[in-house]
Amino acid sequence: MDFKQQTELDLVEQSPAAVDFDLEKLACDVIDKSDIGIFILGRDKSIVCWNSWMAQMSGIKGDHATGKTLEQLFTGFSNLRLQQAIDDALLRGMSAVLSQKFNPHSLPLYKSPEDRKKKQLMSQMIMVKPIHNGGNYSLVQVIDVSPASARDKMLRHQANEYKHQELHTRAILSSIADAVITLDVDGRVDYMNIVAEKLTGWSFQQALGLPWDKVLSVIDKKEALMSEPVGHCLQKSQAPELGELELELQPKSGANLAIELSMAPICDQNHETLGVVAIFRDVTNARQLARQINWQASHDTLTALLNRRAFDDKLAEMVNNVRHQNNSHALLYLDLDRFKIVNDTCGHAAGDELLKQISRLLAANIRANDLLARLGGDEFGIQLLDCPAEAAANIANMIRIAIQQFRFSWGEKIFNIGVSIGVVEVTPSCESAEDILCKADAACYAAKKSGRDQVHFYRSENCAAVYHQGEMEWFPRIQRALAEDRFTLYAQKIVPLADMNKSIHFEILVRMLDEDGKLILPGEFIPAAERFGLMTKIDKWVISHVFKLIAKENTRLSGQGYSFAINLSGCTLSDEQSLAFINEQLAYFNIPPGMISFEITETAAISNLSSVNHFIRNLQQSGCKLSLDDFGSGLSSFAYLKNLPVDYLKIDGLFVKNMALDVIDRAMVKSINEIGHVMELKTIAEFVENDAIIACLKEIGVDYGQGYGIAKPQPLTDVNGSLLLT
Amino acid sequence: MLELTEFQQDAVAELLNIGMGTAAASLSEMVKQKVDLSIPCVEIMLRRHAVEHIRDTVGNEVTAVKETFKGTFWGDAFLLFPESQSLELVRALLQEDALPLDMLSEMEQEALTEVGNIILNACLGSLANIFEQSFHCDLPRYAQGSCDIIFNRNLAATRSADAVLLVRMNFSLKANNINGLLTLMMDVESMQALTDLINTTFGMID
Repeated sequence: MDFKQQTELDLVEQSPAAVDFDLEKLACDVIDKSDIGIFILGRDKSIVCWNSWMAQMSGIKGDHATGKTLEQLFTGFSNLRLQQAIDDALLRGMSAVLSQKFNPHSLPLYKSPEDRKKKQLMSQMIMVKPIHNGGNYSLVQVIDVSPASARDKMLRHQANEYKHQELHTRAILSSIADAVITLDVDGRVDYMNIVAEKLTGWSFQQALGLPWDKVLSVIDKKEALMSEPVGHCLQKSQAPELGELELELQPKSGANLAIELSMAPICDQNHETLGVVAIFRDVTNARQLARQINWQASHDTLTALLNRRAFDDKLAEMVNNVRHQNNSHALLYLDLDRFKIVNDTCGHAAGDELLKQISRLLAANIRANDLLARLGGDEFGIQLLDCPAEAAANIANMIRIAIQQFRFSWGEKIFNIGVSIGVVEVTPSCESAEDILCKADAACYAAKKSGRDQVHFYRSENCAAVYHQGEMEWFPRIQRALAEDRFTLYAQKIVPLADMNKSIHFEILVRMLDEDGKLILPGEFIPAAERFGLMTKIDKWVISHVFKLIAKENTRLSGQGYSFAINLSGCTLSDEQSLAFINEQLAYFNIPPGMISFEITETAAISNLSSVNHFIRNLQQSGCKLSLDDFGSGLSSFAYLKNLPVDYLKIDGLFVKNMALDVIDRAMVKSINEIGHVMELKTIAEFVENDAIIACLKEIGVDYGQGYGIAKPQPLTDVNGSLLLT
Repeated sequence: MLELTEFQQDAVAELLNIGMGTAAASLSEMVKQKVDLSIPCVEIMLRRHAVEHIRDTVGNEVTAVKETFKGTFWGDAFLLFPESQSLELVRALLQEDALPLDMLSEMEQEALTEVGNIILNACLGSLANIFEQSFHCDLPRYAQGSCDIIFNRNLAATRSADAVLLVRMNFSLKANNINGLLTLMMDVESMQALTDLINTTFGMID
C-alpha cells in the first residue's frame, strides 16, 4: 500500500536530511504503535491492515486477521450500522461516526483479560473513512471512550444524587412546621414550602420569581426593621438581626399575623452568596400568651390592679427620678379595716368581690397619673405623682371617707369597711423604695393602732418608734419572754350585781415582764403576738399555769363555786391541737367541772363559726363554760349569737363606760342584755368604772359586772405563789 | 447564474427528501422510535445573507455538525440546531434522564455528531448518487457557538465560500418537534458546478 500518496509526508521525504528515510516503514510503524484501534478493509471487505492495538483488544493477531472479513473474524458478528458505514465508505466515499451512545455493542473488544472474562465490552467510538489508493479502501478507527463513558455515568449518578438530595430537602422543608422561603441573588422567590404558602396566602406558582417583599410583606410594630434585610443578607453575606423585632406579616388576604422571622444568606463553598433563606413562624398565639404572662407578672388577677412587684419597680423608678427633679411625690399605704370579717363570715367569694369593689372605689378617687396597686391581702398602695404633702393628705382623707361611707352588701348582709392609711412624702432625701414602703407601712400601722379608719402621716420621730416597737422588736421579745417564762398572771373580779360582796369569779389576765422586770400590758404585746402567730403559745402558757395553781390549791377551792375565766385568742380557736391540749390539761390537773370558763371575742368567734362551734361544744362537754367577749363591737353579731352556744355574754365595755351619760349606749346595753336573757345566757358588763354605771346596770338587770369601779386587776398569786382570791 | 428555478428548487428538495427518508429510517431503527425528517424548501443565497437568515431562524447560539465534502462540487455541509433544541433532541433520541446541564456532555456530543452524520451523509449521498459523481466526505465534526464563529472558521473553501444552499428541515419525534437547518456552503465555482449539474439533470425536463 502506498501511503505516500495524498499525504503531506511527501514533504518530509524531500528534506535533505532524510534522504534515506523509509517513509512507508514509518507509516506502518505509526499505524501499528498508534494508541487507537486502526484497521483497513479492502473492496471485498477483507482486512488488509490490523494494528497492534486491535490485536491486543480483540485478542486476534494481525497475521490471523489479515484477509478475513469482520464476520469471519468474529463469529456471530452482525452490526448493520458498522457494515453500512463500511459500505458507504467503500462505495460512495462517505465517512461515518458511530457513537458509543447509539452503538453500545460495536466490536467485541475488551480492555483486559478480566473484562473479557466478565464480558465487559470496551466503550468504543468508531470512525469510518474512505481511502482511495488505486482502489477504494475503508479505514476504520476505534477509540476507547471508557473514560468519557465513566465520566458520563458519574455525572448521571451525581445528578441523581443531587435530585434525590433536592427531593429530600424539599420533603423536609415541606414537612417542617416553620414557613420557609428561599430567594435567588436578585431577592426573588425561588422556593416556598406549604407553611409559607399558608401563612402568606401566596401559592408557590404565583409567587415564583416575584420580589421577596411582595410575598413576604412584613411590618415592624416598633418600626425598627431595616429597610432591606434581604439586600443586607446578599451584600454582606450576614444574617440580619431580626430577633428583637415585633414583626407582623401582611398576608395576601386576611388579618395580619405576628411572626418571628430569621434570614440567612445561602453561600457556596467559596462563600459566594447564592441567595437568601427566610424562615418564619406564626407567633400570634405565643405573643398573645407572652403579653398575658407579662400582664399577669405585673398585675393582680383579681382586681386587675398592678401587683406588688410592679408597684415596687415603679416606686424604685420614682425614687430614682425624684433625685433629678424638684417636685415631690407621695406614697399611700392602705390597709382595710374589718375586711377579715367579710371574708370569714361570707366566704372568699365575698372577700374577692369586696376587694374588686374597693379597687374601683380607690381608682375613682385618685388622679389619672397616680398609680394604684394591690400589695397583698387587703393592702393597697398608691403612688401620687407630683403631689405635695398637703394634697396627698387631702387625697388620703378623701379615700378614707369614701371607704367609710361605702357599704358592701352580700346577700342580705351589709358591711361597713374602713381603711387605715399611712402617708409618706417621697423626697430627694429618701434612701430607697424599700425604705419608703417601710415608712408607709409604719405610718399605716400607726393609723391602725390609733383606732383604725385614720390617715397617719409619717413623721420620723413618732412612726419609727411605733413601727419599731410594733413590728420588728416584738417578735424576738415575746419569743424570749416565752422561753424565759417572763409572763405573769393577774386577775380581775367579776361580781354578781345582785350580791356584790361575793367574790368567787375572776378573769385571768396576762402580763409580760420586760427583761428588767417592768410590766408590759397586753395592749402592747398582744397585737404583735397575734400578728406573728405567738398568741397560741401565750394562751397555752396561761392555761397550764392557771390549771397548775388550781390543782395545787384544790382543797381550798373545791366546793366553793370559784370560777376562772381565761381568754382564748382567735389563733388558738382555729388551731386544732389547742382543743386537745386543753382537754389533756383539764384531765392532767383534774380540774373540777364548772371551775373554768373561756372567753372568746366576738370577732374571733364569727371569723370561724363552724370550727368555733365545735370548739365550744367540746369544751362544754369537758365541763367548761364559755363567754362571748366584747359583744356588740361588731354590731352585726346578733345574728350569729344564735349559732354560738355560749354560757355568758360579755357586753362590750365601750357601751358600758358611757351608758350613765349616753342614752344610746344605755339602750344598746339594755338590748344586748335582753337578748342574752332571752337566749338564757348570763350577761356580764365590762368597764364598770363607777357607781352610776353600777346603778344603771342594776336597773337594766345585767347579771355581772367587772371593772375599775368594782375591782382593779391584781396579781393572781402572792409572793409565795399562793392564789390571792380577794 | 447561482439561481434555481422554482422547479429546480422543488427537484432538489425532492432529491434531498429521498436522502432524508433513508436517514429517518436509519435513525428510527437506531433509536427505536419513529423519526420523521422532511425538507420543506431549498434556496440559494449569498453567505452574508445566509448567516443573517440562519440567525433569524435558529438564533445566534447554535449547535452544528459539519462535514467537508469534495468532488465535482465541494464545500462544507452544516446541520444546525438552536442550542437549546439540540439538548432536547439528543435527550429525546437517547431516551435517557436529562442531565442537569445546559450543554451536551461529551458522550452526548458524539451521539449528536452521529445523528448529524447520518443525515448529512444521506443528503450528500443522494446528491452524489443522482449526479453519478465520485464524492468524498470527511468525518463529521461537532461545533457549538455563535453563528459568526461557526461560519467564518475552518471552512474548506475559505477563500470565497460565498454561496450557500440553504435547506430547511423538520425533525419530528413522537413528543418533540425540532426545527433545524441544513446548509451547504460552497464557493462560487463549486456552486456553479452544482447548479450546472442540477441544470443538466433537471433542466432537460424543464
